Amino acid sequence: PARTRKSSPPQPQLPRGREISPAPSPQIRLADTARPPRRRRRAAMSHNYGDTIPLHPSSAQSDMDEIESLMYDAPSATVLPARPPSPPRASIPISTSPPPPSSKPPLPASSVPIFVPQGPTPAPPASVSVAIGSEGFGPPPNTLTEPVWDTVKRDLARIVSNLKLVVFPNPNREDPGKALRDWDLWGPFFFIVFLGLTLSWSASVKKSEVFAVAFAVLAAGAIILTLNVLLLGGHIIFFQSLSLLGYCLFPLDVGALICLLKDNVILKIIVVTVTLAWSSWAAYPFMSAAVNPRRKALAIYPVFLMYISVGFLIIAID
Amino acid sequence: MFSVAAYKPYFDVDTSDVVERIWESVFPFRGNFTEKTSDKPDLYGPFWTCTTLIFVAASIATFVTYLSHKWHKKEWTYDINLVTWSAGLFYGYVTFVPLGLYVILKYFSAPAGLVQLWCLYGYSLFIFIPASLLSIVPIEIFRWVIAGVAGFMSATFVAVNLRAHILNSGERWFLIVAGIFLLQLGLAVLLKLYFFTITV
Repeated sequence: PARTRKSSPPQPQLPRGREISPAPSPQIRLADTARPPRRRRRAAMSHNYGDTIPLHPSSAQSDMDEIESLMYDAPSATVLPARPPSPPRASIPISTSPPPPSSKPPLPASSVPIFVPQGPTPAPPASVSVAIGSEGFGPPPNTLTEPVWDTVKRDLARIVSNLKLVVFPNPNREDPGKALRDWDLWGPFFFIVFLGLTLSWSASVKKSEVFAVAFAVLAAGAIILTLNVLLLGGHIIFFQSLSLLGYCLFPLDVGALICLLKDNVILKIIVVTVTLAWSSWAAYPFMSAAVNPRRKALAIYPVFLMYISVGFLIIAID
Repeated sequence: MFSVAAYKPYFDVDTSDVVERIWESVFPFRGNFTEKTSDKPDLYGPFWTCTTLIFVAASIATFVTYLSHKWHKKEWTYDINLVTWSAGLFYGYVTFVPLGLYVILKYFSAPAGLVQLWCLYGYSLFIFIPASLLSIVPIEIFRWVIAGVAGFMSATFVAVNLRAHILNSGERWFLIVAGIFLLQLGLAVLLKLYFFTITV
């Protein structure tokens, strides 16, 4: 997946872990104050006006500007991604201003920071072991010019680390805030499509309808479950919840694959029951912690309902 | 209209409230459901009761079809249309019939809140969930009896609660209530015919 900012859905200019709000974030304002020097240089370059209109309203500068700054800025500029292991999702990596100090989330233990902190930024939390990557102390990474394989590798690493956090037992499970700090939507997308494809392969008739129903149920189900928690007065972040519900599909994916390979009804029932319990166990702490305890069952029940209905679909498709 | 906060008041219920309302819906002759829910009508119950019913009806129907095909040693393939038609039927019924009723009641100057009507209809569908579970039994007469009893209970629940509300609005109330009763019975019959009538 290429990391072009313009092709991503419009996302607010906020570091991960914050509530999504429509108001302009401090990050944009800081970037704005850093811009005047570049503007003067841009005028001196006598570019056409059309070159400098940002294509995407959420980017603080245009593509031409970014490439320019790559070519002409000093390599040792204080360029700091807001999220250390990968360039920030929602802001431009090239910025002459340091990110706000509170924007630094705790590093996942398995990640590798590739940058050197400079200026008034806080040090990474002492509890996290910081390993130096093979890139060393060189210039900070930028996603526009790195090889595609690096981007893919980084996204895959994130998917694996998120999976380990969510689906497998780990000491951070009880704290939903830590559960998915570095959420992404590639993992859930892949799992939903994989489940739809597996069910479609297993079906002997109406394959495309089966895929359509599975995909629609899972995607709409994740959105409806998130809205359900929000309407009940719970506190979750919309996309983080979508991401979590997508990752919790992983056990059902495994179950569907096993059922595709071995078509025995009893085996299917056992496999689906086990993976269903696993999925529900994975999703439970996050959903139950998000709402008022008096409404916990109201938030949890629909999750069980969705996973049970998908499990039933897996058993029934032959 | 499109913000989450606009709809939050309709989800302001605790687990105990929802369980109590579901329990109330099983007793058709009490007639005080609308009063009990008039200050806090919720949309959680209707939506998730409907969704659960869709899933239960589709899965029990699939299971029943599978069993009868296996007993008669016939080929069986999963019919995904059961899920889609089930969803269309129940969501459509719970969405549009209260909407129509709201318009009609407004016309006959006995206005009832739209959300209250949705609440009433949504909870009235709950009785079909145990009815679907009982319809696994492969005896045709038993299935018809179950469908009839559930339909009668559900229709009476809606009718009695509505009658309590529009009794004072004139002589047309009987027609409206009777129409509502028959419509709900019709839904029960449709449920039985489409999902639980197996021809092998």
